Amino acid sequence: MSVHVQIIQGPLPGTIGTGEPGAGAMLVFEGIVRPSEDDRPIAALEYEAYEPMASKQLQALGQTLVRDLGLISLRCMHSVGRVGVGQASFRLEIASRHRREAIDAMDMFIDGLKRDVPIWKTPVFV
Amino acid sequence: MLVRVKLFGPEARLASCSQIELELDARPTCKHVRQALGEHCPALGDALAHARLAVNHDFASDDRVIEAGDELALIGLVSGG
Repeated sequence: MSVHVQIIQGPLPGTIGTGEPGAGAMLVFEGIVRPSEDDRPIAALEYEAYEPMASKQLQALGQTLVRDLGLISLRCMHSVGRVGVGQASFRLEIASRHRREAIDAMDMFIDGLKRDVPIWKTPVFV
Repeated sequence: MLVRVKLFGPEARLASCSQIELELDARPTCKHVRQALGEHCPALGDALAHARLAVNHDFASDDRVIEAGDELALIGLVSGG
């Protein structure tokens, strides 16, 4: 566990910004493959998706949140195939005018993903 | 009427296959398909109770009528993210 704090003169280095006019908040979430499943060490997760339904569900979920919460943009990527421990299998970027709607949308999107999007993972045990 | 149901993830492993073919009366409903899946493949067991059927890439209710050429998939508990 660690906490690292810095006060920086001027714009922060290494940030991605949004490129979206009017955006005051940019949230980025990455899902990372953990090193164990059910207390057993793994080498990777193998992801399987039912396409085109998975993309269709993700698109519908994103469009609903953009419309209902007034987001500026939402971008989602999800892996299929093998993703090693420590690597990202999921990335969600949300731009909004204020932080609150982006934070709410982040939770709602991930809840919807885990409920309605036909993607499955299988652990590859060491 | 021949109905093919795609399987994925845990359900495919339980059934040891990625597709099940069912011979049903014409224009069955999703409820009929679920019942037939349970009879044809008892290994699906309790997983069927938690699974949903998708027709042409949308979740479908039990009273949805299946037409020739429809694509069916059994969607169990998903685990993306």
